Order: sequence, then structure tokens, then C-alpha cells
Amino acid sequence: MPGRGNLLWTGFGVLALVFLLSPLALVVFFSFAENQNATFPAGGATLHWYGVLFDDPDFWKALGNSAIVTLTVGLVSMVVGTAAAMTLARTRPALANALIGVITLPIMLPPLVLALALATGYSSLGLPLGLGTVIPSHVVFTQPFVILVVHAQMASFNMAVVDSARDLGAGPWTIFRTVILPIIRPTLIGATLMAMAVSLDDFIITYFTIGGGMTLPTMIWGMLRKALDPSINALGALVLVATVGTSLIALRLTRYRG
Amino acid sequence: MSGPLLRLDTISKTYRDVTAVHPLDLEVGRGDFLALLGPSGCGKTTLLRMIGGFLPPTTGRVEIEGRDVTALGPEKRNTNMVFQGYGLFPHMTVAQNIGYGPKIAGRDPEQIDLDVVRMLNLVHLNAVADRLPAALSGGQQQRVALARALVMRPAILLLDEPLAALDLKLRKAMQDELKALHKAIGGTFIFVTHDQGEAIDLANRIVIMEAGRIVQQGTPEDVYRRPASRFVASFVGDANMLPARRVGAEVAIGGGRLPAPGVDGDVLVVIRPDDVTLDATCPIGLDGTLAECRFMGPYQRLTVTLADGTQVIVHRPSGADAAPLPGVGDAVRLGLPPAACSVVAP
Repeated sequence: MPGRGNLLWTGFGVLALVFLLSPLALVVFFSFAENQNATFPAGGATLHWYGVLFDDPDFWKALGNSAIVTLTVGLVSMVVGTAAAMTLARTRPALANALIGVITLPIMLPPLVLALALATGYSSLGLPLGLGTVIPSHVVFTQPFVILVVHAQMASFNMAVVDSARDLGAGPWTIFRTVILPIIRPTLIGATLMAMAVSLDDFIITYFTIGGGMTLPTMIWGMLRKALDPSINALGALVLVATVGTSLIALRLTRYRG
Repeated sequence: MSGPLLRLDTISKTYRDVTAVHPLDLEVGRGDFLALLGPSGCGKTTLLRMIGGFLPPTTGRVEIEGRDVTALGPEKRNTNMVFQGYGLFPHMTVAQNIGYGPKIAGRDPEQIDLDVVRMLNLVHLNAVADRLPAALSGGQQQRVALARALVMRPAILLLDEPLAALDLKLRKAMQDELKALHKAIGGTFIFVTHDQGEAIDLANRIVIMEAGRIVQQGTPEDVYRRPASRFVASFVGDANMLPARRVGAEVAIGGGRLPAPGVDGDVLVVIRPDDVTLDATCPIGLDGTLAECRFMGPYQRLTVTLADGTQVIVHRPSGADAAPLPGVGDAVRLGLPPAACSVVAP
């Protein structure tokens, strides 16, 4: 009875989607609702909570910090990750796999342990906590994404293309710039945006390594502890738009066709 | 200029404990169309890559136009290679692919445009100049790779299994095109192939390799008609190999004698199926029974079993004027023209 089986699966799928998406929908919904407590009945539509958020100087500070961290981490992960992936691609496979195991350790570790280790490390070195410690901490766990993705691409890379360029007189840097980079550019952008997305919404490691400052996730955490002000929903909705927007741009740029 | 265009002097390549190419010497003259022929793993591609500068030799020297280039990489050598998978730049159009080398070399942009157009004409690709390689057929990609290498005006064009990726019909067409191209530009081509037919058709000189060594070199006719070893005889074309004995620099076979300098002992007499005749007046004759007769299109393939059980293959033209054949099971006398026989070690 294929009909009934299909119906069952469809029902399950719809249920799963509702479960996954309804909290997100509610966050967006209540960010525009008048009700002070973010409960039903919602009352009329308003932009009041966005106004409250934009009037909060902490929001602008957190936004600025998040922007600095995310962009720097993205840039550094891209450069470091690509350089590492290119080197690994030229290393013999057994050694390369062992090295990848070590490099990807940070994403295997529980974030809490990594955060603790980093915070302990900085304090034992006597480094003051701040954005200067958040950025390298993020790179520790974002670069594996870039390395893995770019290395996977290099593994299937047609090396005859590199040989051809050499044969036609190009030096290593020219080959990278004119041949390798244009070919792997979509992958590179995708990997970088992935690293940025991971960095943007990281809470635990940021919380342990930022000291007194704040980024958007740690600001949300702070607001939650004070009161359930619907301007949190406004902030949540903005972060959602930023993340989904970034992903869409990434998919568009990498010409991803599903 | 005097002297060979390319000279390899005791060149070898060893990987850890595996020797891919044993020390060998080779000279290639200007205008040669040379085939490096051998089965896979014989070291021919390794040798080609050492000539191109992609692999540093373990021992020996590479000289091009009298200059020692052993230490130079491919970007510094006056050679260009057509790679087995072509290695076209997938993000560049056909014209950009061809113009890449001249651009790197810093040639004048207007001159580059002229050169690219000249190359597009040469390989008949004007119509697809603005397409990406992925939109081309295999044969067209092959021609882009050729044009991209030739636009550099290399002293030597190296081709690694240039036709291996093409289907049979296209391969034949590209063989003709390669030959015409070689004639038109008068360059020196060295190509690697495992296809003896391709080597014989294209090259004016064939170097046959086996297990990292050169086992014979000469014109296609030399290596076909006068194979130097059992390996060459069996690798290049079909061959009948008849066991015999050498005594006093002569081999007695079928009532005749073949001069064959060398130590006494067992040898093989090699003769091509198309050289064996049914002519009873031939000084060397072998008696046997016709075991099979197959029509192969342009020729008939006869299998004759000799008294000692050895089977001899005979190719006869199947045209209308071909002499009538004996029936299967009949006794036949095979004629072996002495000039067509070679004596090799067993």
C-alpha cells in the first residue's frame, strides 16, 4: 500500500519541519508583536522592539565586535586554511591524513573543554582577554572547516592543469593566482562563509575568552538573564536574517544547484 | 646547427628501490617524429617527463640544442607538452587557453592575438574560440592542447599518449591531423604510446622500451621487419616464432639456411604473417596442414599446423585476384623468404 506509506512519511516530514521551524517563526513573529511578554494574544504589529534594540548602545557595541570577529576570522581561516590545504595536498597521503586528524581535533573536542583550555592557556600566558583572544580562539575551530573543504577539492583537482601552466612558463605564484585560485574560488568562498557562520553564532568559546566585552551571542545571553524583553526577539530575527542571507549569498556565489 | 637537437646522456630514474628507467642514451634529431613505444610501466612516460623537466633524473644529463638543461624545470625549457588528460584550463575559453603561455612570456598583446588566431586556424578551431573546454568534444580538446603547446614554438613538442582518450574513428582522424601538423610546422615531436599501430603510422623513428630499457630503435620498417628480440617481435605487430638451433653462425630451417651470427644454441626464427607465402619454390619451405581459414576483410588469415605441432599464421590478400586456396585439412607447403626472416634469442 504505497499510498498510505507515503501519507505517513509526508505527515512525519511536515511534523519534523514544524518542530524545527516553528521556534524560529515565533522569534520573528514576536519581534513584531506588541505583547510585552512575548505570549499570546500577541496584540498589534509594531516595530517598537527594534527601536528599543537600536537605542541600546550595547547592541551597537556587540554588533561591531561581532563584525570585527566574524570578518577577521573568516579572512584568517581562509588564508591559513587554504595554505594548509595546499600543503597537505602535496604531502603523501598517509602523513596528510594523520595531520588532518590533528588539525581537525578542535571540532571533535567538546566546545566547553576547548573553551576552558583556551581560557586557561591565555591566563597562564598572562594575555589580557578581549577581541584579541577571541579571534585566534575562533580560528582554532573554524580553520578545520576550510582545510577539510579545500583539501577535498584539491584531492580531486586535475594536477595536469598545474603541470600545463608550469610547462607554459608560469611560476608557482602565477600558477596559484591564474589557475588554481580561479578554479577553487567557489569552494573557497563557500568554506569561508561556513567559517564565518560558525564564528558568528559561537557562544561558549567567545564567552570564555572575551573577558568583559560582548558579541551578539553573548549579548543575547546577557539579555536573557535580565528579563525576557521582546527586543531579544528583534535581535534574534536580525541574526537569523544575517545568517540565512549569508548562506544564500554563499550558495549563489558557489553556483550551488542543490 | 650541428649535433642532435636532444641528447640524453646516461639518464636514469630510480624511486626508492624501484628503477623506472635504467641509465640510457638517446639522441633525437631536428625534425624527427619519434615514438617512445612500450607496454604500460616500461618507463616511457617517466622518460618523457624527464625530457620535459617535470621529473629530475636520478643520474645523467639532458641537453637541448647543445645546452645542459638537466637542472631546469619545465617553465625554463624550450619544450612543451600535450598531456594525456590535456590539462586544459577549465575556467578559460579556448582562445584564453592558447594565449596563456604567450601572455606569461610577456609577448606583446597584439602579437598574442595574432598568434592565437594563427593557431586556431592551424587546428581548425576558429568556430569555438570563445567556448570553455567543457563545451568541446574530445577531439577538439585535444586540438586545443596541441595549439596551446605549439603557440610557444617549442624546440621539441612532447606528447603523452596524445590519442589514448579518443575513440577509434577520431583517433585515426587525429593521427592524420598530427602528421599533417608535423609536416606543416616542421617541428620535432616526441610522443609516448603503447599502441604499436599508432607508432608505426605516425613516427619516422621508433624507440621501443621494455622494463626501463631501450630494447630497439629504428625506422618503423626496421623494428617491424627486423625485430631485435622476441619481445619486440611480439609487441610490434603479429609474429610467427619458430624454434630452431644455431650452429656455426647459421640456422637451419625448412631445408634452407639463414645466416645468423652468434653463439650456438636455441633460437627463434621470426617471420610476419604477411611475409609467409604459399609459394612452393621458396628456398625455405615448411610442410604442414591447413587447420583454419578466416576471412578478415582485407585479408585472409590462415592457420597452418606444422608436423611438430607449431602453428604458423599466414595473411593473404583477399582480393579478387588472390589465388584459390587449398581446403581445410589439406597439406600445404609454406614458403619463408629468407630476407623476411629474423633470428632472435628465445
